Amino acid sequence: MSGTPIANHLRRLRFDHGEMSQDALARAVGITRQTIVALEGGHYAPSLELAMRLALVFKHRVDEVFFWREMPKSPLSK
Amino acid sequence: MLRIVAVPLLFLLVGSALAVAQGHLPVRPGLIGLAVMLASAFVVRRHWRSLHVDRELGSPERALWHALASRALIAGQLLMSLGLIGPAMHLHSVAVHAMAVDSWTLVLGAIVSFYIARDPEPRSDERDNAFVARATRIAYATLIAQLSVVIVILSFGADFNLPAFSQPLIAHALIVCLMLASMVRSAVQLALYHFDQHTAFASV
Repeated sequence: MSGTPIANHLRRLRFDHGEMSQDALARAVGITRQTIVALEGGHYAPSLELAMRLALVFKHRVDEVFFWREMPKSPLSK
Repeated sequence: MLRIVAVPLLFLLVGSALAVAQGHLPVRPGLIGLAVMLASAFVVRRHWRSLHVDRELGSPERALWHALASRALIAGQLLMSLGLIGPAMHLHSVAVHAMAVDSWTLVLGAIVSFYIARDPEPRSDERDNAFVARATRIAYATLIAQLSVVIVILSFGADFNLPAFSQPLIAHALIVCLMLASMVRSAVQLALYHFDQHTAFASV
């Protein structure tokens, strides 16, 4: 589960939203605080559904919350 | 990480000691095992409540620690009892009845202690499910390996001059196999949480 290619702005967004606690964010999307820790540590890539629920809490698009650390090569580009 | 090995070993030893003590104590060993489980549950509940929020255990981890310890204790008692009773085990004998009473008392202890130690507000999510899937795969492989050994022993036991095993003994041996596979699942899942948490704190 370590070293996923997807990073996120969750920690910054939490602080921008009234210093929301990890537990409050976890409860808002129905997951555990430990998963928020794993997401913020960048070693857990969420499912699309969870990513969309997290983005919804901060009223952002998914790609404004989650991003590639390094853009992968497209299998179509040769 | 050491705890994931030490806790089941300790409870396996306690379970084995209970089986050895059968008939040598003024009270049923099963009742002592039940008391050990309840006391352990109260102690860990108190410990888990005292942990700082950053170090607190999730609901699945609590359940896993309980499963690992309680199943180790029951498996230890069962394994040692089977060893003491021997291969010609008869279901309706004094020794097997005593073993059964103690085993079911320990099962009762496991159920009650689970409700004492469990997270009062249980929560789990997709990350927990991912760990469950990985641990279950390893537990499945463990079960297959154990069954392969049992099959070889049953098939070629006579060639190795092993005594004939009674049907109740084989049935109980299969129960032990299931319990060991379940313990492996709990231990692997706890190890996954351990490594995940370790990485998380290293990256914060």
